[in-house]
Amino acid sequence: MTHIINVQNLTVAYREVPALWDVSFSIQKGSMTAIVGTNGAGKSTLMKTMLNLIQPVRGEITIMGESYDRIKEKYKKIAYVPQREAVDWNFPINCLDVVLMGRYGHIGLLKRPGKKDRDLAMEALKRFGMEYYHDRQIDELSGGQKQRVFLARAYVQDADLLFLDEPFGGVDAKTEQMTLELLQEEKKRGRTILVVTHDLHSLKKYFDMVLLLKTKLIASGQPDEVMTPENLTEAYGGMMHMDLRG
Amino acid sequence: MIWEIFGISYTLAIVLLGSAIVGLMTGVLSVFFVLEKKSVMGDTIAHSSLPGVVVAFLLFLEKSQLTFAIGALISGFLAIIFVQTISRRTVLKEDVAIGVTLSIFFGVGVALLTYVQSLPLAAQAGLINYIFGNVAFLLKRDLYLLAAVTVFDLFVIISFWKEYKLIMFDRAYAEIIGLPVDKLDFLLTIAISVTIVVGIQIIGVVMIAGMLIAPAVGARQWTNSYRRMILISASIGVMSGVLGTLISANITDIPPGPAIIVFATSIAFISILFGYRHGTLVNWVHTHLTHRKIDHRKVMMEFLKSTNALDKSEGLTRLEFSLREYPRLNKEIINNLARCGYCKWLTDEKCAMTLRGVEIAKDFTVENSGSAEMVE
Ligand SMILES: Nc1ncnc2c1ncn2[C@@H]1O[C@H](COP(=O)(O)OP(=O)(O)OP(=O)(O)O)[C@@H](O)[C@H]1O
Ligand SMILES: [Mg+2]
Repeated sequence: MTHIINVQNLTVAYREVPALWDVSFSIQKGSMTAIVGTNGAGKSTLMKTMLNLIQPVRGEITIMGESYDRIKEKYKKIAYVPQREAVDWNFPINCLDVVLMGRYGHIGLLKRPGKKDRDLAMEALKRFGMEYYHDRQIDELSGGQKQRVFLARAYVQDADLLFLDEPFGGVDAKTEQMTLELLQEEKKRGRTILVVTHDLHSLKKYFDMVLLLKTKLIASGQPDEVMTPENLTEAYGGMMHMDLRG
Repeated sequence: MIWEIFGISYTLAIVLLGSAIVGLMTGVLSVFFVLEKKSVMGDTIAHSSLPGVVVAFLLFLEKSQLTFAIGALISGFLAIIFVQTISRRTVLKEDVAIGVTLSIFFGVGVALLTYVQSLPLAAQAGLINYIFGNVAFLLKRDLYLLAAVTVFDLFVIISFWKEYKLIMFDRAYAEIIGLPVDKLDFLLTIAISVTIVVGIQIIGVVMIAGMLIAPAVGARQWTNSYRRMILISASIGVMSGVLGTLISANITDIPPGPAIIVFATSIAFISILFGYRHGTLVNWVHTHLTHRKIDHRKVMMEFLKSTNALDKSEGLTRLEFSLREYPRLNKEIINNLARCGYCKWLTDEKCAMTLRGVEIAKDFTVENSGSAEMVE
C-alpha cells in the first residue's frame, strides 16, 4: 500500500469544543504535504493527534498500517519539529546537545552518545549552517536559527516521516527557501513530509498535496485543486484575496 | 579518627555526614523540580506529609522515625493521587488542584498538631522535632538509610541521564520517538518522594520544600550546562547542609531545618546577583562592557547596506566610506575593525572595506543575530 498515513473520520475536541470535525484523508509515501488554515483552524491539533499526543474523540489513524502505540522503533520512523511554544527555551542546553537528541532513539536506553553520534550531529548542524553556534545556549539564537537547530535534530534522526509544525514562523525568506529545498531533497530519498505552514505562496512549487483546514477539512488534494478562490474564501473568510502567482 | 582532626565529636560527625547527604540529594533533585517546573509538586508532597506524620504519632504514640516516615510517605502519595484525580476529573487545572490539595492536607495537619499539643504527652517533643527537623538523634543506622536512598537517587538519575534531559526539555518529542516517558516519570516521583521522606528527619516537614528549589535556582545562574547545573546544585546542597547543621549545633534554639534553608536561599540570592551566566549584576556590567562589540556589528551592517547600494561590478574590495556619512561610527571602532583586517584607513576620514570584511558583514546579515565575539 502506498498510503503511509490514513486518517478516517477524525474528530478531536478540547473539553466540549471540537477542534477537528470528521476529517478524513490519506497521505502517499514519499510525498510532501502542507497543512494550511487560519490560526485556530486545528492544524497543530491534527499533527498532535496523528502523533498520539492527543486522544481523538472519534476516528482512526494508522501510520504504516499500524496504530501509533503499536509502531515499533518509532525513532527510526517519525521525526517532529515542534511549534515554538512547546519547547523550554531557558533550559540549560546548547545547540549540539539539542541536535544530539535526534540520536537518542538510535543510542538506546542506558547508553551515552558516542563520538559517532557527535560527528553526525555536528554534520547536521553544518548542513543547516549552524556549526559556528554549536555551543550556544539554545535561547541565545534568533528565531530562524532556533528553527534550523530543530531541523538539524530531525535530520540527524534519519526517520521516514517528518512532521514540522510551522517551521517557517519567524524565519526569513532565504532560510525558508533553503529549508524547503532541503526538504525536497529528503523527499527524493523517499521520506514523507508534513508541514504546517502559513506561506501559501510556496505551495505550488514545493508541495504535492495540501490539506485546507477550518475545523473541518475544507479541501484536500493537489495545490491547484485546493487553492481555488471558493475554498480560500471558505477557509479564510471573505477578507482573503490571495495572489497565488508568486 | 578523621573527625577528631577537626576537633568534632563522633555524634557531630555523624550528624554532619547525614546533613551533607541530605543536602546532596535535595540539591541534585532540585534541578529536576526547577527545570520541570514541578517545584509546586515538591511543596505538595512535603506539606502534605504533615497529617500523615501526626496521624502515625497518634496511632502508635511513639517517636520512632520509621513510623513517622511511613506516615509521611502515605499521606504524601495520597496527596499526589488527589492532585491527579482533581486535574483529570474536573475542569480545574493542575496548579489549582495542587493549591487546593496543599491547603487541605496542610490544614488538616496543623489542626491535628494543635490537638496533639493539647494532650499531656511526653513524646510530643519527638513530633515537634520531626516537623522542624532535628539532627540530635541521628544515629549511624539512619546514615545507612540515607546512603541507600542516595545511591538509589543517583542510580536513577545517572542511568537515565539523557532521557530525563530530553523529557524535561521537549516532552512531546520524547513521547513521539517512543521513550517510556510515563514509566520514567514514575521512577523519578518515587526517587523524589523517598528523598523527601528521609530528608524530613533532618530538615523538617516545613522546610524541605525550600531545599528542593533553592539549590537549583542558585546553580542555574552559574551555568548553561545541564551537567554542571546538577554538580553545582549538589554542591550548594551539601554546603548548606553542613553549614546549617554547624550553626544549629553551636547555637541552641536554632533547629537545623531553618538554618540550612537560610544558607541555601542566601546562596541562591547571591547567585542571582553575581552569577556568571545570568546574574543580574554581571549582566549589567557585561552589557556595559560589550556595547562596543555590538557597535562593531552595526558597523558591519552599515557596510553591507552600502555594498548593496554600489555597483557590484566595480568589485567589493575597495568599498570606501567616510566617517561623516555614518554618525554611529567613530575612530575607535574603525581602529578595532582595522586591527581585525576588516577594513583599512585611506585618509584620516576615509576608510575602505576589505574583501574579508565584506564576507563577515554578509554573514552577520544572514545570521541576523551576530557573532559579536568574532570582532574582539
Ligand atoms: N490545550 C488546549 N485546550 C483548549 N483548547 C485548545 C487547546 N489547544 C488548542 N485549542 C483550541 O483548539 C483550536 C485549534 O487549535 P490549534 O492549535 O490546532 O490551531 P492551529 O491551526 O495550529 O493554529 P495556529 O496557526 O495559531 O498555530 C483553537 O480554537 C484553540 O483555541
Ligand atoms: Mg498551531
